[in-house]
Amino acid sequence: MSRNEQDKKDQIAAQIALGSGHTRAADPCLEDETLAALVDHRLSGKQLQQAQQHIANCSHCYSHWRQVSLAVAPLAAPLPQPQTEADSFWQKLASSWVSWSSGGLAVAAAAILAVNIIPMADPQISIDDVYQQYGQEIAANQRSSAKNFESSIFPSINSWQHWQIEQGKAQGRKKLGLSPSMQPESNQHSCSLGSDCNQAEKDLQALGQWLLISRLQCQSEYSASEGFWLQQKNSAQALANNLSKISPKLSAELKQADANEQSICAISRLMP
Amino acid sequence: MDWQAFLFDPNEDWIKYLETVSRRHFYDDNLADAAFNYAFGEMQKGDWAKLNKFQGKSKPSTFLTTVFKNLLRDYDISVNKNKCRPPVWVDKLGDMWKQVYKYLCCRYQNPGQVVEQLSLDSPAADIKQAATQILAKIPRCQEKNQQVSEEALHTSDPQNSGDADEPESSGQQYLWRNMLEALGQLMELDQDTDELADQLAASGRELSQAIRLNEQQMLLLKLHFQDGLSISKAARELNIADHKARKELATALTVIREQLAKLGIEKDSLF
Repeated sequence: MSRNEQDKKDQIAAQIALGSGHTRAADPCLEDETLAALVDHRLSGKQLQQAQQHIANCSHCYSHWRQVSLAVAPLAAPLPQPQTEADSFWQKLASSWVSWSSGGLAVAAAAILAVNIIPMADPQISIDDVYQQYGQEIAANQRSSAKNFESSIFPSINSWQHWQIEQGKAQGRKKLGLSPSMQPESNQHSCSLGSDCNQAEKDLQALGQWLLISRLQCQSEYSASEGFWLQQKNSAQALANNLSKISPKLSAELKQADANEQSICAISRLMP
Repeated sequence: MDWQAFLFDPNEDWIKYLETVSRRHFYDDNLADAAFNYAFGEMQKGDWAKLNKFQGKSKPSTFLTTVFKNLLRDYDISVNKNKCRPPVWVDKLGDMWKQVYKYLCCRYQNPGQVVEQLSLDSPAADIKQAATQILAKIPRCQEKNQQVSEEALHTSDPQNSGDADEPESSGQQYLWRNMLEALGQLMELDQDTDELADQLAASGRELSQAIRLNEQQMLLLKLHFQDGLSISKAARELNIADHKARKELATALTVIREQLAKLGIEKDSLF
């Protein structure tokens, strides 16, 4: 583990301040419902201040608050409902990651999406199916935020890789009925996903499509869930491993982004 | 509110959710199942009396979780009748350390299992380091029936000593030395922290009185520095804007450094 010097100094200073206080507050511990309301952000004014003051000084209640907060995080997203076409999107999306990728990525991507939502019972579906069946639904509320979505994410990628990713994103946008993106001017070899592309082209174009859909996904209500974020820790790492054959630099950047933000959502946010 | 109908709503599967909460709390499946049965039984008593206290101030699901987690804790305490609890220096280092201690020394997990169990909540590398530190300082903690709480007697936690105003100096030294040593290892510090520990111990009551932070600042320090949450996530926990959290943290750190300087505790190499 490496931390920079300032982080270490801040940490020491913080620990001294925290260590100098008592571990039990003088006032009585919070009642269950007050603590629950604090977790739900439903306290305000003096009630909020009093509750926060208490947990700041009571290690018992602080710990309880954190544990309840972590436990209910997955509930911020809807609990599994009886299966309907519309409800099964995330499940199918998870499955389709599996069909696109291989090895660790499949497992990690499944973990990302399955955590809140879901057993992976559906047959695998393709990215085309995802866009066709569910993409419009997601995009409907995300048109404005998906507008500026074209630039390169990763500094190190070469123009060919950039172009392939852009191609993938353009294909995704088209499928979603979003305004066409500016196509990068290029005389690169042109192929369309699933037809005359070689495997590297397919992978990069699929990455572009996935980045688009994951961006939209991450802007959806699911991004509010702490559990969702936590469960994505491994996803970028796995994605990076999958791409390492195509571009070690791209793979390394992906890993770096993961180390910084620990989330595939964070990676998709890097797109301006 | 009809809790019976709520809990057994076939569309929601709350029972499965509570089972998951219990398994996450206990790690050992048998213990988790026993705890679930205990907690659920307690909730059911008196026609859901504990849940019927609900007044609608929070989401029902959050209230249910809070009550259930409290009961799991009760059960946890009852099965750890020998009061297996962390020494104060571990307690003061925060929740991550306490959890690591609990899994290592109360549930006798090996460090690998502890990392596996807790790495969703805190960085795995930190957990591993904390486990190593705890085992180094309390090598017998994994021996069953070991009275590990003995450690706590050598510290000056006001709750243990019953004397908040006159902490014993040697206890304070023990506390700060252990805390700073553990932190030093965790952060790969190459400085000797003994002198700082002595200074902090000597400042005693003045130290806690000098460092006055508001509740949000304290919580941000805990969430960010002890629990390892990013500032953004810490801000989300407190329902405040990122920029406000950053500002509050910066202010808090400035206050701490200023107050330490006023007490003559200035160690350029450390802060």
